[in-house]
Amino acid sequence: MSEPAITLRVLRQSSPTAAPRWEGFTLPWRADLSVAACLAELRERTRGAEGESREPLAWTECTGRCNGACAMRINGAARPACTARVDELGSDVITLEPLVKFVVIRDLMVDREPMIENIERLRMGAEGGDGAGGVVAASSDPALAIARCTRCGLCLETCPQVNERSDYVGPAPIVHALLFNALPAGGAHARQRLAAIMGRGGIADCGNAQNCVEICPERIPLTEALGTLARETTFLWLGRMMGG
Amino acid sequence: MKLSDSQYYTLRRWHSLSGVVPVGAFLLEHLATNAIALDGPAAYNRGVAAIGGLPFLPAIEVLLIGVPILFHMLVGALIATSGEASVFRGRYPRNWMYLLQRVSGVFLAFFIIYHVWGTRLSPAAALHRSDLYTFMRGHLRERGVLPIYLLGTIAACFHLGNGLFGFAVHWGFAATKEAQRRAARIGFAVFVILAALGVDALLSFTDHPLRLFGHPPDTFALHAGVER
Repeated sequence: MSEPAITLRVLRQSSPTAAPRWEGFTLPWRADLSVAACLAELRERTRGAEGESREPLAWTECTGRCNGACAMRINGAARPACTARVDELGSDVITLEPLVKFVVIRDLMVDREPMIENIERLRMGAEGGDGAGGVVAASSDPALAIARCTRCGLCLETCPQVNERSDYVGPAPIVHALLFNALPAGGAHARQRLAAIMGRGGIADCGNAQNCVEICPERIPLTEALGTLARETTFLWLGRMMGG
Repeated sequence: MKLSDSQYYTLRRWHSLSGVVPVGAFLLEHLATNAIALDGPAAYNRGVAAIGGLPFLPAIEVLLIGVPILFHMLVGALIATSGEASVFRGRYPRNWMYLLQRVSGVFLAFFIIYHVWGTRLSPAAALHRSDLYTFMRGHLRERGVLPIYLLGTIAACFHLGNGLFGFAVHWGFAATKEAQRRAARIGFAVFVILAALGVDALLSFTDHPLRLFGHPPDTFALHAGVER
C-alpha cells in the first residue's frame, strides 16, 4: 500500500501580467498539516538546486499568529492558509488560487496596496489604532473593534460589490472612518472622513450582501460599523440639504 | 453624464426612498384594489370606477406613479449591472437576498412594461368595450399570461419586502446587528403577507380562486350598484 498523500494544485503566475498556469505537487499526508505548512515545504521544493534558475513558489506568510496576509482561495473558498488544516478540507486534492479581487504580484502573492491606500486616505491625522494594541483591542466598542483589522482583504474578496465594473472600495477602507473618528486624535476631522466615504465608490455602493461580516477572520462587526456610518452619513446629508 | 460625489450619494438616497414612497406605497394601493375582486366582479368594477373618478388622475398616474417607477428602474439598472452575480463558495445566506433583489428588479422592469402595455396601452386594452373585470379575466386567460402575472406579483412583493430591509440599513434606521436582523425579518414578513394577498387577488380573476382570506363573493353580477 502506498503512503497517503495530498495533491496540491497551485495556480502560478510569474508576474502581474504573465498568464497563470496550474502546477501540481504531491506531499505526504499528515493530519495536523496546515495549508501554510504545505506551502512552506513547496517553497523549498521549488527553489531548485544550487545554480538552477527556478522560481520558488511565492505567497505571503503570516508573521506570528495569523494576520490574514496568507489569505488565498483554498478549494474555491477564500480564507487564511495558516488556519486551514488539510484534514478539515475533506479532499485529497487541494486547489490553491490567489485572491481574485487583487492584482497578483507572483503566484499566490497579491498586492493589497490599493486597499491599504484607501484605508490610509481616511486617517487624516488620527494616529494609532491599528495593529490591535492593548486597550483598543480589548474594547467592546464596535468602532474600536475595527482596530483588530489585519488588512487581509477577505472582506473585499467576498463582496459582490467589489469588482472591475464598480468603483466600490470595499468594507475594510470604509469602516476605518468609524475607527479613526473614535480615536482621541480623530475627532477634528470626523466630518471630513464621513464626507470622504460619501463619494462614488463609498458607502452608498454597499449592497448589503453582508458576506464581509461572515468571512472576517477577526470577527469585526463590519455590518454594524457600516450601519452606523450609514446613519452618520445620512445625518450629514440631511444637514447639508438644510444648509448646515 | 458625470455626477459629482455628493450628487451620486444623493441619487442613491433618492433611489432608496423612491422604492418605498411612492413606488412601494403604490404597490400596496394596487394590491388592495386587486383584492377587491375577492368580493366579486361587481365590487371590483365599483372600486375601479371610484378610482377612475379621482380628480387629476392622469397627472397622478404620470407624476406620482410612472415617473418614480421609471426613475427607480433606471438607477436600479445601474446598480444591478455594477454588482457581481456569482454565488460561489464563501458566499453566505444574506448574499442570496442580495442576488434576488437584483434579479427580481431586472425581471420587474420587463414585467411592468409588459403589464402596462397589456392592460393600458395595447390596442386590445385601449379599445375594449367591456368592464375591467371581464377584460382582466379574458387577459389572464390568454396563453402564458397568468404565470407571468403570478411571477410578477411575487417578484414585486419580494422586491418591496427585501427592499425595506435595505432601506432600513442604508438610511441608518437599522445600525446594530439586532436591528438589522429585525429589519430583515420584518421585510420577509411583508413579502410573504403581500405575496399571499397578491396571488389570492390575482387568482380571483380565474376559475380557480384560492380565497385564502375569507368569504365567497357577494355576487357574480358585473355591475351591481354601478350606474351605467
